[in-house]
Amino acid sequence: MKWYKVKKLFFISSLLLLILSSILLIPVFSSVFTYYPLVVSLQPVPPPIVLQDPSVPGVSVSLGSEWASASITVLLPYSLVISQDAIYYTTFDSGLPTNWVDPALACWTGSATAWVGGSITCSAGLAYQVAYYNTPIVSNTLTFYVGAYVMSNDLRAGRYVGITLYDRVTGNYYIAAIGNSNRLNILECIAGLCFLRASTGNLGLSTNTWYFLVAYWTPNTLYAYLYRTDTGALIGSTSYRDGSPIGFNTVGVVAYRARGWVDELVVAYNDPRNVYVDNVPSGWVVRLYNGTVLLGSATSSGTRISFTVFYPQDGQHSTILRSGRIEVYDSYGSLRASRSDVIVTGRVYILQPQGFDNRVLNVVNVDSKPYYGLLSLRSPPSYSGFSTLQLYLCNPSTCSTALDIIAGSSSTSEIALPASQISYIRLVAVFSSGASASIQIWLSFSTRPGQDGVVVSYPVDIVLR
Amino acid sequence: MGNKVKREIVASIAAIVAVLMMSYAFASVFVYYPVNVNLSPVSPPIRFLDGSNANQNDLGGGGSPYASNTIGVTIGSDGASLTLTLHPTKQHNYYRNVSLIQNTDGKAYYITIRVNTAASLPSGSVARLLIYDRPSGGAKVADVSLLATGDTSATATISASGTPGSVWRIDLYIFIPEGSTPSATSANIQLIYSPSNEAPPNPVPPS
Repeated sequence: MKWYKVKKLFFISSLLLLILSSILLIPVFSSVFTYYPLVVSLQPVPPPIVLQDPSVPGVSVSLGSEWASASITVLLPYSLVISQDAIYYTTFDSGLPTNWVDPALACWTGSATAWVGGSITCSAGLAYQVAYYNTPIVSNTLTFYVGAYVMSNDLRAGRYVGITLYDRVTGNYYIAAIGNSNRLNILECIAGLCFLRASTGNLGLSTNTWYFLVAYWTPNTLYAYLYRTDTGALIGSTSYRDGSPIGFNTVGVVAYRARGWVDELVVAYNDPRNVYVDNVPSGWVVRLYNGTVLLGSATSSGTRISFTVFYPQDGQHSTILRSGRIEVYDSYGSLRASRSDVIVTGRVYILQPQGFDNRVLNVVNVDSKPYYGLLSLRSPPSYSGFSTLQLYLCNPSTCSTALDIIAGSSSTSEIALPASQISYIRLVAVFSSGASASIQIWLSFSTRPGQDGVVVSYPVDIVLR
Repeated sequence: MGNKVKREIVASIAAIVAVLMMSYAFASVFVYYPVNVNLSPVSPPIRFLDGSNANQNDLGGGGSPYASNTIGVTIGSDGASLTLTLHPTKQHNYYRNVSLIQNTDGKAYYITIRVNTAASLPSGSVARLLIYDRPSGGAKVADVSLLATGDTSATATISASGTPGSVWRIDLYIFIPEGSTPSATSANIQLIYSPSNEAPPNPVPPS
């Protein structure tokens, strides 16, 4: 092809392209655009609603720097209550209590030789010297324990010092006693005659040494256990089953042909070597004190905690802690419950959740006009162990409907936040031991009812444990 | 190159030279064609209106006697300009239905929002102009940060008068973090509309 023919073709193509472009460009520049000015002026003001710590025990509040946000930690309240008490106990610190009967006329008297405090002692001859509590407290249809520290100056054959299960009507009784050639023995006494029903072998017992003796009755068998008081070790045990049991109704002490001492008598439904604490969440710590002396500390694994406190003889360990105190700490080390008490072994304490119904955050309107507030969930809550978990927004005269976490509601109703007054967020919780929750909410307030006008939202985080 | 071709080139050059000479010779001649531009002003087909919360109570206030701040909404006499004056506080502020945009024409228009001058708030703040295609509820048709310049795309269409979507609502969301010290600030914006779906020229009108 000749070069001028190529140029001609190029010329024609360019011309067509120019025409096409012109056609395409016509609509682009055919429109009309109208411009309206719009100015948004922002004039920030201090928060008209500020948050405030209500100073409620167990509620700690961390506020944002301008009181427009809050993180709340609620330590759910617990108390230590007795769920199973001892049936009876006496320290014998003042000798034989006035409500005890000593038919032998003052054989059993007070003694300074004691496990702790004072004890009772009796130097018995050829008669069984019994003193008993003059009130029906047990029966042969019950299962129970009797524990006491016992000591004898004579452990030879036919000598006994121990405790009794006594029938106040007939005068019949069982005996669990040390003696009779260093043995642990069970005797049955009917109409003034006592029969040896069971005994261990020679246990190598020592005179004038404190032992801890436990009589355990479960229909219709009497068990006897003997423990060392220096190591707590079991020395020996024996039992006697009675097809026609004595109809005993109280407990007592006994000595025969020996001088005996008895101290710290405890009657309970549980082993009198221990103090028990139930319902403590896993990971929490329980401490047991007598006065300022720490006798035991245990970390819960979710099951019953027991403290064995019957030994050694140091003036603090005993089956009756005269200045007892139990403290329960959560896994963060916060003290959650405590109880000062005369603590008796065999008793069961339970860590019992208390209901919570209190304000957790104040909402203060510092403006001179009312606002309209409500609470709403900011994210799905996490919780466990609650049967009731509700949040309310309250003003001085009324509360909103509940933001009911358990029922799954997502917001409260709206209430007025009156000018220059303190409203508040109220928490209602019913829970079981170890309950915890994490809740993120908005506190929203508006200038007009119905969350209209301008709505301001403050983040509020609530942790319950 | 043949003689024939040479001749054609010479002839072409001669013709061009002749034309140029003739043009120069007649440059002092003017030809006048009549062009008439008829301007027939019409009422603005797109108008700003007060929202339900225009000039209602805003956050805060003061003075003695006490006077509340208000959600300031000032609209030009022909509905062709809008000034909003707001009093946000710390945390999350949502201004609902402060102004409306109404199409009074029988045809749809394409809307562009252009932020010419951004507002200035402390780091971490958010300020957004939100436009919905109904006075209540509706779908969001524009979400414009007031803290940055730029245009929305011109794909949002305000429906013809009398049809659903012919009245739009303006909301605003403002977040100011606690611990910051914001000052008064403003954003200069343009609402640009056109009957055609095109990006508006820039800059128009001349500043």
